[in-house]
Amino acid sequence: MGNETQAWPGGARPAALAAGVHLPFTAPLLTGARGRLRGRTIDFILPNPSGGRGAYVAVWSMVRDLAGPTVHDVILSRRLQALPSLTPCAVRDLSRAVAAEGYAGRAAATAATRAQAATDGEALRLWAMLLMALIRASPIPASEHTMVLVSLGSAGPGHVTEGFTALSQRLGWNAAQLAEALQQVSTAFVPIARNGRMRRLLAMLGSLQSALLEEHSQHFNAASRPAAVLARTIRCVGHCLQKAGALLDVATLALDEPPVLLERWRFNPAAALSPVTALEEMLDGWDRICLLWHDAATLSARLDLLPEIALLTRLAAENNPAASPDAAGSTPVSPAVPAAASATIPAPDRQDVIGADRKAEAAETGGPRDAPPAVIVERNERIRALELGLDDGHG
Amino acid sequence: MTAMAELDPSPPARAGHVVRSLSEELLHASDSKLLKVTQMIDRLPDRGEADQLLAPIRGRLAQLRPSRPMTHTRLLFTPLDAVVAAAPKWQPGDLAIPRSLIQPLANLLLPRIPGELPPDLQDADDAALTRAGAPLWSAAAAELATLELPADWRTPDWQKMHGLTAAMVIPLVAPLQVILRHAVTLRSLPPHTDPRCEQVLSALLSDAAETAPLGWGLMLALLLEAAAPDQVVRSAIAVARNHRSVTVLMAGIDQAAADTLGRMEALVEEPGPDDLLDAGRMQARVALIGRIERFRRLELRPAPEQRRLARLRQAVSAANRLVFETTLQARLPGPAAAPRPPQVAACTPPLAAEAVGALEAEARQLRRFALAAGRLGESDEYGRLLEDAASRYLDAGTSSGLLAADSLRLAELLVGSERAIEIMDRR
Repeated sequence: MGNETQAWPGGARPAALAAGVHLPFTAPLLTGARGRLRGRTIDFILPNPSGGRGAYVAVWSMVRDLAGPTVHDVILSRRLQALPSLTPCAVRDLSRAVAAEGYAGRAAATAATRAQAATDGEALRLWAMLLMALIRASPIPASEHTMVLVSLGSAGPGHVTEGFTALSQRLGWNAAQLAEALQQVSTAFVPIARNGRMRRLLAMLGSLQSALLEEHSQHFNAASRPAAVLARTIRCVGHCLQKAGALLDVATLALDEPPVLLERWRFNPAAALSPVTALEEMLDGWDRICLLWHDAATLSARLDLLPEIALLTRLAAENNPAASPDAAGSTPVSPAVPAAASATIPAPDRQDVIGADRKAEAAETGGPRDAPPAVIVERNERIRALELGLDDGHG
Repeated sequence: MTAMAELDPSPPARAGHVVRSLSEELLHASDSKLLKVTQMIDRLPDRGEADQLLAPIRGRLAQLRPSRPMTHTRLLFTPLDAVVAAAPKWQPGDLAIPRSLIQPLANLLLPRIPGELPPDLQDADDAALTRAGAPLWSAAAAELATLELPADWRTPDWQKMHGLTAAMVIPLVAPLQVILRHAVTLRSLPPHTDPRCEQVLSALLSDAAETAPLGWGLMLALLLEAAAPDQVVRSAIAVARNHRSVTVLMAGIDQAAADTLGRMEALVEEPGPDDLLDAGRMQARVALIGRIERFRRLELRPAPEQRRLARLRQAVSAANRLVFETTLQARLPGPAAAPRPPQVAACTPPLAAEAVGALEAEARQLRRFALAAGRLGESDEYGRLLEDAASRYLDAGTSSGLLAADSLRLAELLVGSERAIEIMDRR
């Protein structure tokens, strides 16, 4: 498996499957797992445990037999089955609730509680900001704007008061519809607010790209197979960074014009929220990749992690064709890394990537996928707490 | 260790007496105390006699792997760590480097090595040390290739000070040279599952065979510590068969294997505290289990060696079981061990996150140890002990200060996810 190269007859490529959503499991073999709805069941897409190409697609009963889920994973999967749709946002909310109950450890529980409070607080701030923008766009005299905001804001989101109804009518909105619009938009745009999850994630992706580039240029033989695998990983990161950066700009611009944004919502809610949903999909699962790197404190740990990063990066890119550097129309984004033809890119191979730098006792204590399962679960729970912390802008 | 202050001002005879009595005390000290003393000695500008304090406990220190200042001398000889022997125990012909040779050799080599020596490496891990040491080792190997012993090394004063003669040192130079030349490869061997591993071993051993018997034996001793012994011996036999000195090389394999076994036996004989979770004790025990396991894979070994290994395995297994049971009972006695009146228990606030985290860390480590130790025998018994410990927490209820998720997680950490899910579904 590890020695295969990507080559399809006549240059044809298989059609990409529907993108899966990252599921924040903690079991070693479920690190980086994704899920997608098929009818009323969920297909779980698991990274190939051998480190080779391809992924496993399984229903939960198979996952339980094959991948040794933790108690946390079992509880999360049971609750996932009840979700009407699988989106990054819905999975984040649900998994935060599971973590808050303590099933991923006390640290994750604390992080989940703080993240929920921070998210609620930021949504409220955005709601007030949108409301103020509407007040300013109304015929209400400027001197009364703050007073009106205080009066309407004291009832909080979702409450249609008499004053709110009056304001809605002056703006030509149905009050209930406007309340819904404000709530949906303010909640959806939380991740791109100042110091929000998406901004912090993009900064981490930038750091990851720099670190991998440095590693590639200083310690890898450019002609070697491990260097080719690392180069592809760097291109994936760079491509994602570029695309996500552009999407973040679009979302930020949309939020800068609240009346226009709300008006767009009135005609097509999904379209109005699409800059954020597209960004969420683009960066879905990259938080775990970045935080795994961030968590690896020593050089040995980072070298051991490279194959896993390569594997997860590929899975994230394959499950979101727009995020893949092999997608049609994509341009090289990391000039320092020579672009290899996708037809000759080798599958990441754990031993190859580590190569000459591997510690002598690697078989006992080496790469993450060789380490005892409990050690990886512990690491994944640590990462889980950090993932949750991304929603806490003050954390 | 208040007597430490007496070292400097004392006359030599008194200092020697103090050193002996402190050494005796250290032999039976806890791991944490041992680490503290080591740190103190490392901070001394001139270690002098204080260094001798460490001589009898170097075996334990090797197991504990304390964080010690990474001096240039230490970095230079890091690739040889496993075969450095205490000077009084070393004899010419041993597959070891006498510790007393290290400092004079470093004083000789380090000033001759061009370029900047690596800066502070205090927090460097193995991979970082390998990167930092690579230029040093290769330059030192080049120096050793043309080394001529300084004239003063042949004087009685030098020989008396270091307990070595020129005739003892000269045979060690070529082996040291070959090992330092291959130091990076030695420290970065591919895992035993990698098909390239045999090639790498074969290349290293072929080169070392040219410095037989000592260089060959030292290389083998290092490889037996660092790689899978069965693979090492297989490669060594293949190299030896095609070599002109086949008999010498074959004898070297037996000597290296016997020495490796001897080093493992010495570890078991080291006295230590009963708490498995004390400092690096757990890691050392798990590593020893792994080494015994790997050594067992050696085929067609002489009967006396097999008997020694069986005795060692039995001794380690018995000691492990005892220390595990004691530690498990002491560290995870269950909430019932501290009964409270019902009216207090009913309103017990949840335990702090740190307290739960500490319990979880201990449970995690103890299960990890049980899984490793069970490979040497009595795995069912380890399983039963862990089940008992898990039950103590599951049955305690929330009055213990543990949340429902905490109890379930503790059970999961002790008996594994699959069993914990069964328990969860049953309840």
